[in-house]
Amino acid sequence: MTALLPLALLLLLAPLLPGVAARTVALATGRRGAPVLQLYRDLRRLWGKDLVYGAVTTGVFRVAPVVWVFGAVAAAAFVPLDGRSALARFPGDFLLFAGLLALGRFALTLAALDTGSSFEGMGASRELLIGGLAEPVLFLGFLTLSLATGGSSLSELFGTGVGDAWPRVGATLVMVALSLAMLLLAEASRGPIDDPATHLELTMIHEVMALDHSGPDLALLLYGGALRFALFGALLVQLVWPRGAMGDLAAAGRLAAGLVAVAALVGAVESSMARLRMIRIPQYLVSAGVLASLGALLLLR
Amino acid sequence: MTLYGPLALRLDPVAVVFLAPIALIGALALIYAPAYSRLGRGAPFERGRAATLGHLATLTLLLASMALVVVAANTVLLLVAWEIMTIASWALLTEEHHAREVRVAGLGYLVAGHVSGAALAVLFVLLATAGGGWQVPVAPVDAARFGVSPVLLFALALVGFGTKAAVAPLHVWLPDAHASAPSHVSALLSGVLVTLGIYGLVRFVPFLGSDPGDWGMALMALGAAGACGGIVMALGQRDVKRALAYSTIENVGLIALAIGAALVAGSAGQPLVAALAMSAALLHVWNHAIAKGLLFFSAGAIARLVGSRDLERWGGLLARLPLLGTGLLAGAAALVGLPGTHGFASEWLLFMALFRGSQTLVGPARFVMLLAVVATAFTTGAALAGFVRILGIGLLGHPRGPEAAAARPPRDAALALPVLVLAVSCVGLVPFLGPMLAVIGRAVAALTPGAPIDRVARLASPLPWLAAIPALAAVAFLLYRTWLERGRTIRRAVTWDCAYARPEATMQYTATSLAQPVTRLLHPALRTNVDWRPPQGLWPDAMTWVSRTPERALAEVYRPAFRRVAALLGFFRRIQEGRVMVYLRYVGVALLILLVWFFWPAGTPR
Repeated sequence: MTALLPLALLLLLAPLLPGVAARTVALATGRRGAPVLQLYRDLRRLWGKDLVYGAVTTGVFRVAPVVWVFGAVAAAAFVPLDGRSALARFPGDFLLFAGLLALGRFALTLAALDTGSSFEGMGASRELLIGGLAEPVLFLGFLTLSLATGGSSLSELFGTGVGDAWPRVGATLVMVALSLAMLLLAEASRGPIDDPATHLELTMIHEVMALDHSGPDLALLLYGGALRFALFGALLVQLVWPRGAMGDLAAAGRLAAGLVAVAALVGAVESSMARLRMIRIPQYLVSAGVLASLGALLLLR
Repeated sequence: MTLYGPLALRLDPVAVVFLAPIALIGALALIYAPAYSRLGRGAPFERGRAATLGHLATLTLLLASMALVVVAANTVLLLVAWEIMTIASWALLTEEHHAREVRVAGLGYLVAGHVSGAALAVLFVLLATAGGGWQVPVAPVDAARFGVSPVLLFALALVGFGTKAAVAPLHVWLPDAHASAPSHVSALLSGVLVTLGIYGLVRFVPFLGSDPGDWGMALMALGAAGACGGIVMALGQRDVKRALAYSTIENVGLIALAIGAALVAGSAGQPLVAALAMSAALLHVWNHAIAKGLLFFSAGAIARLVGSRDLERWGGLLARLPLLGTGLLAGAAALVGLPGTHGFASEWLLFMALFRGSQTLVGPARFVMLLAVVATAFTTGAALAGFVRILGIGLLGHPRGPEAAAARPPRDAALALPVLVLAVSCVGLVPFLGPMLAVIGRAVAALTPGAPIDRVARLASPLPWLAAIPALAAVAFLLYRTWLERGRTIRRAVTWDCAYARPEATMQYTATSLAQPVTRLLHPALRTNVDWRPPQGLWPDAMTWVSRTPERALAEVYRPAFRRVAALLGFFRRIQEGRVMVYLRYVGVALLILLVWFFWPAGTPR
């Protein structure tokens, strides 16, 4: 039961994070910006709208939004959100976590190609490149953590073991956290990898794949994106702010505060640096991987 | 009883694991073959009933010889079956020999087959002289005691079995062969025959010399190279069947990597890691057979209906050929290892082995495991991209050519059945992973001494539950759809194209452009060459842009090497005269030399 509360919190809080990040960017650039709760309003409005489908689209296009959200929600069930243990856990569940996120990406990119649009093809192409390179980075992070904590499930890698590991292998955990933070920006389609605020199709990555989705389908797509942001944010919070001896409610508050802080940080990064050129993205992801493997090398000695 | 011991057969757990794909894919291929021949243009059996029967007979001979390879307990029998297998598959492969590319591919296949057969013949003779006898080994052969170098034995086994398995860098024959064979033959070659090379590796390599750990390292390195290289090459191919063939190289690489990891862990005294890795290898043999069989059955039929294997001429086919399209989709999902398909299980086992290995091993072995995690993770990520490319460009969007637009589903149960059976098993086998792993566990126990099979089974016990993923997703989708369709108008409109008035099929993203970020990133390795004639002048007329990703190992290593060998051996062509008189003279000279040698006064020969 204690694991259900933080999961509900994560699912409810997810749409807040893009709002917080956007607000931070607005404040940093001297604007007032949209309300923090803007995405909730957008979702509600979209939820009530009618639907338009592209003329050539098939069932793949219809199924994809559901799979996209389903993958993220199912993945959330394996993250130890309360700081101890996840709703479901088994040795090797981090592979399922990665697999469920990959399932979402599979569905989303196929739906993009289903429209027959050149823009969406471009988005799919970029998303596949980022996804293909992000996968080894994620696994390197998991591997380094499994070496640091000796665990083999997400609940062990990001659960109470992390708190015990900080005094022993702090340097390694710092590197993994940095690598995970870089990965978060890529996986959640935030700057400097992607620009969620751009209005030009040619420069979009994630947004462009949603061009032909409408109504509730678009709402699902937006929500799933926010949920991925929250998932990686939760992993990061778990890593840098272990639960320690907190009570259940305090731990849930810690998760919420941590997520908002991560979103604000993402906003700060977005407002302080220009977007990377597309051909720099592989270098960015490879350096994230190098950071995680340096952490592992420190452990091998 | 023969000169080489009894020509015995042996049906042990290892043989059972490798017999299963032969039976399944073989049976489906026999059903599929006649239907495939009736499909589209340029059917292979136009020559009539006798040729059809001949084709089916050869197919049966291939199946029988493959089964014999697996159950042979005598190396000579194995070699005979191996050669029959090569010849039979070559005959099937060159079925459409009126096309030049098929003849070239057939020649390459035959050369690779001979290299493999020759290496095996030497290996078996050496094993026999090293005290192993003529039976397929079941215990380590202490070759060094008989003055036979274990390194040589390993090299021979690698060339002999590795060529058939297409372990990099012995893979160059495979893309041509598997692309140009009739599709059911491609399915058999890619899904089953290739794994018999793996069979040879797991049967022989653990028993060559006293410590197979070094062989493990070598297999892991070659496997990682093949896995990464194979999938990246697949991304550069426009020919669907060629892309699938490169994906076979990738999967064989993963299997070789897993076998290598099992050997490394086994010799380092980590039986659990070894058992996990060997289970991953054997389960992946099954998964790959099912998924690749399905992919070739469906892609081959689509290619026949569209009249082209070129992805840029497909498009819009999921709507036009729902069953074949869904087959391709299911096979791709399983081969990528998405959770909810059986493909995820072997990927999970492999990663578990590598993670455990990284945690428990020490020294270089540990470092190798870490590198293997990165290579495997890269491979799975790239495989996703590769199959999204095939599915998204090939099946979705507007039809990219008139043939694709006119494609109609074939009304042929014999074509639909194999696709349906395999597509259902991609998801339907997940709840039965427990019994499947039990069958594989017995083979693992035979191959890695002291393997804790029960612990592997306990670790893998959550996997069957993952069948819930597709079920839950389906329920969620149905609920969402019913809610969606209540009181809501759902319209169809043209795809968003920046308000351009006349969207066309040629405006879509192409297979080449989709893969361009990757091919550009890996240009130093891939060397995709582009032939671009830009438009010129005030009134530009024709312009072309052609890109090709060639097989570098073939163009830069094998062709020059073969050319050099041919030049060197050209000298001996002079001896080959062609006249009986000359040959009689050779026989006479040889006899004379032997006589002189025999009666030489300084003692008789040994």
